[in-house]
Amino acid sequence: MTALVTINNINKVYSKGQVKTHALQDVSLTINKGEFIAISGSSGCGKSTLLSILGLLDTPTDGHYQLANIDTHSLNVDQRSSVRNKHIGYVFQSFNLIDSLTVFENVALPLEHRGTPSKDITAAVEQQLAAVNMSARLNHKPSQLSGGQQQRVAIARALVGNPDLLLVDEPTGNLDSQNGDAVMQLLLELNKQGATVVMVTHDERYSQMAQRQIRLFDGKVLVEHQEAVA
Amino acid sequence: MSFYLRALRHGVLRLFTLPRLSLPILITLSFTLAAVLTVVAMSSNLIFKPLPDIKDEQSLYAINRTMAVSEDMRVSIFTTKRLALLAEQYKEYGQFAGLQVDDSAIKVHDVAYPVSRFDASDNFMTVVGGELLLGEQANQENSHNAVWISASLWRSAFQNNANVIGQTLQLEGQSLQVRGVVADFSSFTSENDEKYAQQIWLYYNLAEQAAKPTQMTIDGSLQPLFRQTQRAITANDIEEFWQQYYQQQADQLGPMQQMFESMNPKSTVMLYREILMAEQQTMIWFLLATVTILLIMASLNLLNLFIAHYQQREQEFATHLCMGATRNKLLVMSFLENLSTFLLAAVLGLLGAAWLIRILPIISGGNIEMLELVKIDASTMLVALVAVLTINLFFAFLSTRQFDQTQLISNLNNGNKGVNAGKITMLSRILFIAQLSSAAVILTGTAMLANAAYNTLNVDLGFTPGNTLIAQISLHNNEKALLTNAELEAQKAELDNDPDSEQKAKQRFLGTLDIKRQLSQAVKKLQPTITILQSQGEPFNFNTTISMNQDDETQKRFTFMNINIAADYVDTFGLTLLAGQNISQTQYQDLDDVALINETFAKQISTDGTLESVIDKKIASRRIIGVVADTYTIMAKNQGYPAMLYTDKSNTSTINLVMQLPQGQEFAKSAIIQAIKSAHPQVNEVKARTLTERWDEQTMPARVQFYFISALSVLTLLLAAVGSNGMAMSFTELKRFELAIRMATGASRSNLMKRTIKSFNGLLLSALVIAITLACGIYLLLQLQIPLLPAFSWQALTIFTSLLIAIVFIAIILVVWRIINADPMRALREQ
Repeated sequence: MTALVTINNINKVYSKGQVKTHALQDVSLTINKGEFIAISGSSGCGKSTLLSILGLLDTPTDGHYQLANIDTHSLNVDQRSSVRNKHIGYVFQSFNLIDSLTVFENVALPLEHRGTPSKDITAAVEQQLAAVNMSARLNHKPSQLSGGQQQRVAIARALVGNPDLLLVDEPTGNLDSQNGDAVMQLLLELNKQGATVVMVTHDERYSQMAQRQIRLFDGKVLVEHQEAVA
Repeated sequence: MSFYLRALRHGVLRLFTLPRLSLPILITLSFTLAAVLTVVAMSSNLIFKPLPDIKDEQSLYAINRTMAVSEDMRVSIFTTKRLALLAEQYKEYGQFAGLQVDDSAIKVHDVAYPVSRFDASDNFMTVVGGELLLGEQANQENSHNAVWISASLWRSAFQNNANVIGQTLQLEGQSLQVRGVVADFSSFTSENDEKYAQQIWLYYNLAEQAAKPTQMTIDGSLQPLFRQTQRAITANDIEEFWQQYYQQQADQLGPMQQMFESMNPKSTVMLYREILMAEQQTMIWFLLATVTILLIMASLNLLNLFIAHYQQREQEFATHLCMGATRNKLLVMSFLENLSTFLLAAVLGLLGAAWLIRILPIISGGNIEMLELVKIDASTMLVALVAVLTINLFFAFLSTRQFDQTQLISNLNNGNKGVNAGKITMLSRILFIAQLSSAAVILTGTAMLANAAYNTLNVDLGFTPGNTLIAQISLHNNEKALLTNAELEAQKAELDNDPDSEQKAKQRFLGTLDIKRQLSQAVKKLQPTITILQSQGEPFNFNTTISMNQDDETQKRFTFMNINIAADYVDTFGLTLLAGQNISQTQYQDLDDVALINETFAKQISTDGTLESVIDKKIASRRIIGVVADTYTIMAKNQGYPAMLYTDKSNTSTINLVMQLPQGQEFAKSAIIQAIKSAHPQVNEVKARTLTERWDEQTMPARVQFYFISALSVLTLLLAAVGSNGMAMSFTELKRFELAIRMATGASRSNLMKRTIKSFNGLLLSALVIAITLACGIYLLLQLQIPLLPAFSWQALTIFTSLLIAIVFIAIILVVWRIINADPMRALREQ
């Protein structure tokens, strides 16, 4: 197995005046290519902070984070953007689709920022939307879609650039159980096709569908469970 | 569609779909740009471009020697004779020419045409490089009884007929033969006269003027010019000439030399361009500075709106960043999105400027010279383009860099967790303070200038002008108006030897009065309600003569202006008699040599400091019988100038008919002029203007300044309102969640209003204190550098600052109220 992500002794401290909050304490983790990891834990345990650091949306206070053999510590803001664009796909809990853009345009964003030629963008976006069964909604605006549809568009956007790492924050949190199940099936399917998925969830049922489950408590890794690989 | 093309398309669509952002930009920026581009066009055409009619302007100088007739008025003491003598002395240096400008009227086939009349030396066109279109160049032989006309007059009066050469036109009753057609000449100043493209040129030979008798009067209208071909002429050269001239002409000049030398004479050599453009240049730089501050202020105000807009798009920006967009890419996106709005604002600004340039001559009343040269040129368009692109780039930069990227992405990731703290950013705070400061700086400047202009317009005249029309009538065949010193001496000797001389002088004067009586009858017949004064003096003293005399007791010399009055002058114009008595009707009829003097003059000649002590004193052979309070005159303005008021018996060549009508009635001016012209065969030329018209002409610059400053103040207040509006909108938008939660928990709208306004107080008060302190400091500092700036007025500052505070508060209250009433609960439902 090849290690895609290696984090060693990551700490994250939020300071506000004299008050310091340790969101993550000495978290170390290795994620191999093709794994499906679920991170769970109670509210405020540091799940989203860990995901933000993995997605280069936030920086650790100290510790070491290497992604696809890139030492992320020395990257500036624009280099981080570039790494995010090439190596990471991020699915937000609240989808964060841009209201003024169509479904197609939303999904095309990572490729546009990468400078991909329009012809290739069209092909890639159409293929990805087909994969999440959203081809029929190509020219719709996000406001015209249901929550489940928006989530699928968000996943398509995260996958369109063929990222090494797919980070998914509470993918079912804003969905009913039927849509939640569908999204979960989609993620499992993607994982089967080779995608490395890290999912934050507080839903035990979905958490157990992952190969590895990591439980956080007060910013520390409390339990790590790995299913036997057949 | 590519990312950038989509941004451009969004920008175009946003013009229509987001009027809340696009309209303020278009309105504010296009109005401000119109003002900026007008001034840019003025500076481009008037400062940086060469004069249209002058070749090689770097070697063409205006030379002069002037004397100060009052604190703010200098008059040239050059005459054509003196210029001819100077030209002779320095002929090795280069060429000299003279130019006098007046407005006049000519007749061609009985049709009258108003024209600018140039009396110039016959080498003028050669010296300046003017263009002869038809006919022959003027020279010593062909300029007698001849006239050259401008292309515009050729077109309007002769329909561009090539046979115009040899045809005649009538000027003041004289027939002149057209000898040539020259290009329209626009590089001249016209003082208070109208400036026409229809022009006539009357030439004289400069060298011949040297042999003419020395004139004993000066009218200050000659503009001597020097074209350097060999050597530069200096002020010292001119000074040297004058000293030699005084020595050579001492006998001829007599007391005039002392008068010239006692009135702070000054020799000057300036580029002709500077003479033409000096006033404009200062004004244009001032305007340029003002509109630049205005543009900065407008931009700051709009930036607040932009920041408010981009704060609302925070999530979109964060998403782009998350998807791998660099900050520069977002900057380009923002730039392209706003490009169409800014380009449209530039186009509207250019259209506005073109319109403003067209009406500038009208609103300036012809008081800004050379405005006809101003037009929108390539430089102006380039400035418009560069200005909008720079502002757009600056906005794009700030609006995309204002966010803390980590915080932004963190907010994105924690989108549904908790309520935004709603804190106004440091950038917004700085912007708001900068906006109010720039508004306060402009308003302080405009407050002082408006105050000064208002004071100029509302000066205490010291008399009541009434509804007065003054007709200036010049007479044919009367005694020569301009006598040389020798002629005066001869006349004096003749009078001294003639026992009946006084009687003859009285008879001549009575003869003139008889003409005046006939003219008055003609006017009364036309408009019976007109009252015609015996006095011929005009209270503003637009055309004044200055005398110098000596006090026989103290041997002290006095310079004073003469006002030709009769017994009715003091009462008609409501002058205050301070000492002694008015001239009586009997004294006027008996032509007694009595006079009134004004307070300034009385104080100068009083021996004991009292006004009464001057009564019965004799000045210029006249007994002073009364002292009147100083009045406003064009010469004296409000600082006082010695004046003597008496019945002038010596002037028999001109008559002033001073007429009054009850307020509300109108003079039939044209008919009156015609009636006067037909009433007596000796009437030569008649010019008639009401005192109000003349006052309006005289105060036009101050009024233009007042209107301009008022407009600028209104625009500044408007911009301050827009800026405060943007700031309030941005801040209140940030507080939407808080407002929604407060409302959800039972707060009333008035309660929300109070709380929101209260949260502004600190920023608002500190911004206002910084702004006003800064503005006062800057103004006082500028005043040290530029003494011409009006005095600091706390009263004016208080009025303008109160307006600013009121406008800012109203703008904030309105926007907060709008947002409170626009369903803040939506913020919670959207969560």
